[in-house]
Amino acid sequence: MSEVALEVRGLSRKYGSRFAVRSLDLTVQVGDVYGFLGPNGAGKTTAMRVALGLIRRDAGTVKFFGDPDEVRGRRHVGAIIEIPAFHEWLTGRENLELAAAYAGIPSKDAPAEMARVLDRVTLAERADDKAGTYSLGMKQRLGIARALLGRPRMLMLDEPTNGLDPRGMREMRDLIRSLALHDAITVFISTHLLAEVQQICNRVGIINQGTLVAEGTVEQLLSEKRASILELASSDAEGLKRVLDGIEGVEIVGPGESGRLRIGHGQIPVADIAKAVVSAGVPLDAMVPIQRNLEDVFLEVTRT
Amino acid sequence: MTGAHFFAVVSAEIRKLFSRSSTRFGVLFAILLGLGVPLTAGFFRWVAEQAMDKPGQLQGLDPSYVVFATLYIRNFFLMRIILIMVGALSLAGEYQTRTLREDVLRPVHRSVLLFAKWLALVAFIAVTLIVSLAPATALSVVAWGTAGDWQHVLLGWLATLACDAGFAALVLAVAVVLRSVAGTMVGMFLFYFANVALGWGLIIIANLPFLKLPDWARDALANVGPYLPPAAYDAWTGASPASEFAGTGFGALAVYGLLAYIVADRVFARIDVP
Repeated sequence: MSEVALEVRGLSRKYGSRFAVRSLDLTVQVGDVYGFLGPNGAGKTTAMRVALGLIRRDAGTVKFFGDPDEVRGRRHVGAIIEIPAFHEWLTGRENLELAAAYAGIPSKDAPAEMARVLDRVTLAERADDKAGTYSLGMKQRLGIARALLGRPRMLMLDEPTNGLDPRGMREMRDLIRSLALHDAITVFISTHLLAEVQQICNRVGIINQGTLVAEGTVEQLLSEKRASILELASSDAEGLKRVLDGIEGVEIVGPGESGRLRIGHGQIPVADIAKAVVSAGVPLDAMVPIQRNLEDVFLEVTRT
Repeated sequence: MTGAHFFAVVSAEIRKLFSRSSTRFGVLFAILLGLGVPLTAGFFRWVAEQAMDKPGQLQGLDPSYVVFATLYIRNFFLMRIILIMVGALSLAGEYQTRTLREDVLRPVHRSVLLFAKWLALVAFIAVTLIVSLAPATALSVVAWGTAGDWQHVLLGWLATLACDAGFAALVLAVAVVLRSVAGTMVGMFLFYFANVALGWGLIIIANLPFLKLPDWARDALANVGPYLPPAAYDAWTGASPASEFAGTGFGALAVYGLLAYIVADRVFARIDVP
């Protein structure tokens, strides 16, 4: 059985009477690149903040690498929540020096460790400039460098590509992929960029209204849905709609491409649907199975 | 948490605090104060000699008095205002700029973070005292010799360290509750204002003729002033040559300082850090 990097059980946080996070259960295995998805206001950042001890929780437990002491467990974790903040009047290196002290890195090891992380994010040349002069992309990289201090086993990144230009996003994505592949760091990443998640994550959790609504490997999530969506076309669109409405278990999802009608059909065989349409005398011009991407899954499970 | 880790956190807080321009301004101000008071005293003495046409014939100044006068001027709100600003920036300022988040994310208990911040403030107070005391003492001794009541001088400066350390705990408590630099500044101003009003208010209440209070209650209300928080945080005045040492004032200081710190610690343990 593989080791668990992050185990969240029954995590809840309320603001007034509204649940921002409700009974959240999450398991991130060591070696995962876990994509944490959800629409704006779904509770992603709140869940990450609660897990990292930034904000209070109303219920639940959080364990990093099985350690029941959350503060001690955080020594294995580097994190960036939103835009990383720095003491702008200090240089990048001085900011890292402070962070190294908080991380518990012995002062004799700190210079080498700082050099390592600065190299890792290709920021060594600008390390002695004041952090206030850094671009957003450089701040994100310095944030990653700070999170990497002390060789954490896990990185938690909240919207790490937010505000970056396409080049910066590409660099950040490559860096995250490289950290997972070459440094064997477990990555927990929250983002809106679903295509990106599909490219770099092996497991995904989708949160909506504070509750986890789907979780699994990307393959699982896609394969579960792959055969269940069809697009149908007919010269008698009204007739087609009427027939489909009458089939139990078939749901008209909405318009598809080129005027086709998109349906979800769960476990009902495609042949049965085709037979029902044809036997009702409705011409069936096209029947296209849709291979869904993560965006389709996301939109479906977060539909309220 | 190991001892080395704890000292590293405290050291980082001190380095961070002293990297701020407000802290450096405080240190510079303290140096100028330490130089300025003896020089000003010497200048006025020289002017007086010229005016009286008796150069070198006036009775010598007591150098220890000049050094204690430096302390009086330092403690007349000037350094307190700077301490409020420095303390507010170290906690509420970091909360507002989100840099506090980066510290809280680390494997360090919040109570340790707060204690490190308080120790950094105490270090700032100690440094400002030393950089005022050293030049003031050196200049005074060079100009007027070593005679004087140096025991009271030393007691006064040590008592100031204790009072300001308690006051720093109060600043942190207000900063952690209000989580705003401006709010902390205003809050501390109101604290002084409210306590002055309270001190006078109690005396007025004690003397209201229609209340017909028993004598013990009237005495208590009229005499509680020295033990109200602002007076307690000024207990250092009890160490001056002109005053009689009042241990109760320091007792009140300890109580208020501890209460303020406990409030700061409890609130800081629970607040959401953005």
